[in-house]
Amino acid sequence: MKMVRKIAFANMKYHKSKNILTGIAIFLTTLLLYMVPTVGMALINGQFAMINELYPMWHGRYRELDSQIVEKLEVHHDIARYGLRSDVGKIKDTKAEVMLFYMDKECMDLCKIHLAEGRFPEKSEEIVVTKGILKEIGQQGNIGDTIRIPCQIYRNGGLDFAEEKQFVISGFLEDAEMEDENRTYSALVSKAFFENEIPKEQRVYRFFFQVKGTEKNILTDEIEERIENIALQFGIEEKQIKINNEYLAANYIDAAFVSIITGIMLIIVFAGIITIYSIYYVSMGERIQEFGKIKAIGATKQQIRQIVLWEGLAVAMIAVPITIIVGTVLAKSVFLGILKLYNDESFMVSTIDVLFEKNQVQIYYWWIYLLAIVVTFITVYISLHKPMRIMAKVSEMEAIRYQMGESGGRKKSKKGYRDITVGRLAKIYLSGNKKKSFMTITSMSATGIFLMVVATVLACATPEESANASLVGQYEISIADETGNKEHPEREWSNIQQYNPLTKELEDRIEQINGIKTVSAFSEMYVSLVDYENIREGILGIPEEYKDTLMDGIIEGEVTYEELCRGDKVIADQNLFRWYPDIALGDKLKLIVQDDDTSYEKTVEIAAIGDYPIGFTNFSFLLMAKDGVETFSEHNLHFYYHVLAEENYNEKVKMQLEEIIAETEFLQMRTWQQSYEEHKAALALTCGACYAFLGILGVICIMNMMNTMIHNVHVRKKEIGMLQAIGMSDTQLLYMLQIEGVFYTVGTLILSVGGGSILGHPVYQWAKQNGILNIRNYHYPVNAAIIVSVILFLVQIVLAVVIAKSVKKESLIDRVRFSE
Amino acid sequence: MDWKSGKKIRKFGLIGIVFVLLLGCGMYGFVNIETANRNTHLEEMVKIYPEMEWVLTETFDYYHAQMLKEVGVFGLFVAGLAGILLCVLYFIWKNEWKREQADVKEELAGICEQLEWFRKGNYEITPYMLRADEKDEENRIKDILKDLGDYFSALKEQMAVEENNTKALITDISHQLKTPLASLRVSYELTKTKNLTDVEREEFLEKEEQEIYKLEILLEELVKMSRLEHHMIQIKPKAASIKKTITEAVSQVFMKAYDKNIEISVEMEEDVVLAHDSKWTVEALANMIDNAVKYSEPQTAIEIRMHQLPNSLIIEIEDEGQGIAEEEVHKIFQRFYRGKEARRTVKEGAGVGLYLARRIIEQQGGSIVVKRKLGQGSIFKIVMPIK
Amino acid sequence: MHKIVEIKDLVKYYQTGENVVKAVDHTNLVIERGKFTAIVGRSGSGKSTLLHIMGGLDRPDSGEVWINGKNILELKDNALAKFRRRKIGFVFQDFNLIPSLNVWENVVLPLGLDGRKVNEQEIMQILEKIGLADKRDAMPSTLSGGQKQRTAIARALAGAPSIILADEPTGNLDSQTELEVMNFFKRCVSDMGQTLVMITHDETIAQMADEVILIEDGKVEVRS
Repeated sequence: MKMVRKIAFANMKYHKSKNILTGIAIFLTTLLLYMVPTVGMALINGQFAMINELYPMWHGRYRELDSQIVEKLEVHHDIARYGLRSDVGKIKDTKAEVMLFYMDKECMDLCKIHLAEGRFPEKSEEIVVTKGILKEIGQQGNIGDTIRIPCQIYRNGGLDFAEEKQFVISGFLEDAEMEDENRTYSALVSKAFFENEIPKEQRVYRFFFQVKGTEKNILTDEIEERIENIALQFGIEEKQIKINNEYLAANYIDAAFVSIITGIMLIIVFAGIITIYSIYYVSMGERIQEFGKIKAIGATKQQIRQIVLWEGLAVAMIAVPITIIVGTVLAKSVFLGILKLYNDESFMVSTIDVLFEKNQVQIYYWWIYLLAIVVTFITVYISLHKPMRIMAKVSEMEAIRYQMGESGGRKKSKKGYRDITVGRLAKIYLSGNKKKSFMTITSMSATGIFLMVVATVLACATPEESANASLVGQYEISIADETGNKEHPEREWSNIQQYNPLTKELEDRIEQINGIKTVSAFSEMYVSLVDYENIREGILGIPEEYKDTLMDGIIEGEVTYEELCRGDKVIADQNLFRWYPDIALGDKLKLIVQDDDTSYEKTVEIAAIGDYPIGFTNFSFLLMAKDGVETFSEHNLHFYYHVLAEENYNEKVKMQLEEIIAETEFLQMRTWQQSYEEHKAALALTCGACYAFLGILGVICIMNMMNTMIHNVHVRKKEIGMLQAIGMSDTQLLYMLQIEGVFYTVGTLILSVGGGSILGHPVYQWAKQNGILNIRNYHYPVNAAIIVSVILFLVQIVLAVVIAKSVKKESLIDRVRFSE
Repeated sequence: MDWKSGKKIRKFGLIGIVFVLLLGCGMYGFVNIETANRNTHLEEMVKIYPEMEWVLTETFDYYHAQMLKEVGVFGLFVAGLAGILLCVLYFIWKNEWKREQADVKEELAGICEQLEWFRKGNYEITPYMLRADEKDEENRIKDILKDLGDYFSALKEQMAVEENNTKALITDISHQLKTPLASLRVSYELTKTKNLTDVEREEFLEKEEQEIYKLEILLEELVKMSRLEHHMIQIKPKAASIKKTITEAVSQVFMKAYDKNIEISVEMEEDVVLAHDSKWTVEALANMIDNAVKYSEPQTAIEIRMHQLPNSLIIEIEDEGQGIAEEEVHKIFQRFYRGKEARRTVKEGAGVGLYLARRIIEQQGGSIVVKRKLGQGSIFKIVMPIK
Repeated sequence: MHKIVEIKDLVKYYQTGENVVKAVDHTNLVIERGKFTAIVGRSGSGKSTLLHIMGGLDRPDSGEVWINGKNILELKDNALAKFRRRKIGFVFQDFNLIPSLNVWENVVLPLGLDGRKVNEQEIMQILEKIGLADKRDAMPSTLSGGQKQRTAIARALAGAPSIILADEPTGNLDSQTELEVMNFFKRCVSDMGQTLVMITHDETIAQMADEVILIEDGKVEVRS
């Protein structure tokens, strides 16, 4: 056994160059195996820490519960902690939205609401506000001061008339940036106030709770199930339930996630195996003689196998520790690097950064090290398995008689060329070594195809398109309406209609702005569905400019635009059926329409079903032609102005639009740019990580090519020396090597890019269906394909040059050596 | 017109034409698209503001005209550039052509010079040709001329050498003849002048007989050799059985061997039909076997073996004789050479046999080499090609 | 006497660790055109080095090498390669053939490298003279040692070079094959009027040469 190891080590040193390559491949594989889970875990931990820091702690929330249900829930056995919140009312008369609400202590803990100073309101006149609120109502005060606020309380299903109330400030909430920006605030009132103002039957609660018995290792799915079960028991509908997904995901194990990570590691292992195997395979030929001699002097099959294995393991034993050290050092930088990239774009990311500094994010796990090491060694073992077998089977005589070239040259003769050129030399050599060439190309392509597929998926996920899906046009101006606010009945859509600011004039004004192309007006009418408890839905009227989009989106049924102008036929967006599973194509929906102060009944038929982006429907599930909707009322029913501009974003244009909007209180605006940036941020992290991963895979793949080309030349050193002796110039040698390299490159490219492209499409469809990365359209990853091709070619060219140079030097010495 | 210079020019010219065409198409396309765009825009505007139609049309026309003007100017500019480029290219081409013509003239002049030298019997390489090699490696004519020059030189030398050879030959022959002749003359003088007893006379006569015999043999060999030397004897290879040839050669020497009690054995498994001149090959083989017999002690053996290789035949003649000294191995095939030891042991011999044998074999495309045995004797190996 | 190769004061030293080996030590040499010159000497006496330098495969530390009136050491690498494939033919002791090419392709290799068109007749003639005409499509793995060397010789001749340099070409062959190969070699070379310089151990082979040069410790002694 000792002898075996000695031989193995000696071999390893002798075949230095090949083993260095193998070593590098092992190094990279292990590095990936280590880095991926480490950085992944770090990112996750960071995210979780961030979520724990920023997000509330409740598992689930039911809303619109009455007191009865609440009482029952409070004693439910499955609920560990709970808190109550109720919207009490609003402050009238401000341009901003100031909500009054009540929260009990539990709820405040669960929702992570902290006071900046003071204490929670207990007495009925006490209130907690923010500095911003005081500004809005134009009053000043500190703790203990009295302020007067005109409030509208929620009674009878809507906002009652305003009453002026006096409050004593008992505390201040932290000012939140978002609140100040959007001018929506919340003020806290006491339980006493709440119960005083609103009679018991009218109280509507939101119930926040944590499910019982949750130790750290439960799957999130389970928790979700239990939340839904409880809801079922109490007749709480799905739309009343909200599950705190991020929090759950942060603290409990997401099954899907684990499988993804495992999947990625398997891929790395696979790539590693292919590469290392290929490296060994290619050099097997010349080792046969060597092993034959060892066998001839008496080694057994078992010993030969062990020599091969130990040689490989020896390399691994050197490579792995280096990797561990390098990996440990790198992990931190990589992680910080990724964070830094997106620090500016996301508040959440910067939180992670901060937490990391505070050492609240762990990135080193002992089990990852163990995992990486063990898997690497397994990889090496598997790669060596076949070579071990083959070497052991070699017969002594065959080995000693073995000549250069493949398998002793089965051909007896061949019809050759009359003239030989350098190009033909390369071609003949390659076709003589078909198996090896094939092996190399295949293994390289495996990595390449994978690369292309991932690149395809990433290329398909463009934030532009997601933004496009969420918004039609570059700017969307819509009516800012409100329902059920007793104090501001004019904010009802039915009222706004009468003095609709979205007039033709406005359209013209907007169109005149430099940089705007057109404005399209979409109409909307609110109706109540009689058969569904009068739930209010909207019918969207599509103008003629978008007729094609409307018609193209139909997936079932048939209807023409003209028919939709009549006002009795409607297209249902397929999302309708998620909420109302009973409705089907062809159904006639009974509607109650409110026009001015009158309401009347109308029936519409669902003539077709369509699939439309959210930006198009704005969450209305019923679609008609504009003319059709306008039959519902005399008023101006314009609800949305979709503004198409020449540039996706222009500061001046935006400002001008904002000015126009500011003129009335009933308009609001969304921009494409906003949506784009949101999506971009979300995508960025994923992309970054993927490309880094792919990059390393790519390098592994290139290792392979390097090895083959080096090996090809090494084996032919004497031949090449002889060729040079009979007059092959250095340029010709380089040319020959280049042709061989080109062969590998082109072969790999065809397989990877070709195969990858073909595979890319079904994978894209799978991703689209599963809503991964908001993919909507197929994009061919042109950039990736080009970059891959260019890099491969460059590497091959450089490789050929380097090899040619080294061959030149060595051959002369070789020749002299073997002759002397 | 020289192709080489033309090629480059043509390449550029082609690129230029393609470029101009592309540009033209591009401009044309551009004009069309712009026009179409404006038209649609105009239509749209007219739809929205029908009352402004004529104003709009005017504006459109104006812009259209502007665009055409700009395109036109651009086109002219490009045309101008192209024209200039063409002129430049033309001049370059002309220059190239002129230069190449001059080059060709120079080359021809150089070649002429070299040929002149050859004609005058000077087979040296002119300095022009020596220099030219560096610049213009592709020119085969120059290479061939140089080789020709070398060949002529070699030929001249060879003729000189042959002349010397002939002179040497004559000298050698006369030298070789002198010795036995001198001996004869002495003998003759003696028998003429003196009164000899019968016994003495018998002795002298015998001696003379020997010398005459020696002379005859010598002459025969000399004649053969000189004829061979001067290509008066044709060696005509014909397919024939080598076994027969070897047997014939052995039989010629057999009696001598038998007298000396030397055994000749021949090992031949199969016969080989070989293209060779039987008569002369017999001569060569006989010479060699004869040598073997001459220089071997009695009661020794001579073995003749034959090996057939795919493309050659090897005949070995092994003897157990006195062998050949290391320094002499080369020289034994030389004309008139006799080894020191050989001269000591055997008085007769002109030293021509091996020389002749080698010439004969070599003329048939074969070779003779001798291998010294560690103990006693030598192995002569003859290799002949099998066509 | 017409010189085809002239070597002036050639020096080549090797450094192996701490030892300095004087492979070629101030050697002068002249090779005559059209003759078969054998170079003999013990192993390690620098014969191969000398031959390599003569053929432009190696560069000396100092000295001059004139071939056909040209100082080949002045040529740059690419030019030297071109010179080699036109003017010089090489035959080594082993590893001469490319295993993936058949006999014909191996033989026309130097022409291919030089970009010259192959004259089928000429090459066939060489193959016939050397006795390999029927093997033209055979692969090297099916050839015997002697046939392989003859192929190598044919290849050296195919380019019609002026000089042929051979480094113990028959070293690996048995004595009979050796004779056969040498016979062919000598015939071809003398028929085409080429110059042959061959390194050999074997006395018997050396006999066939017109001139024999003995190299001892990097120095030359001529013996004819």
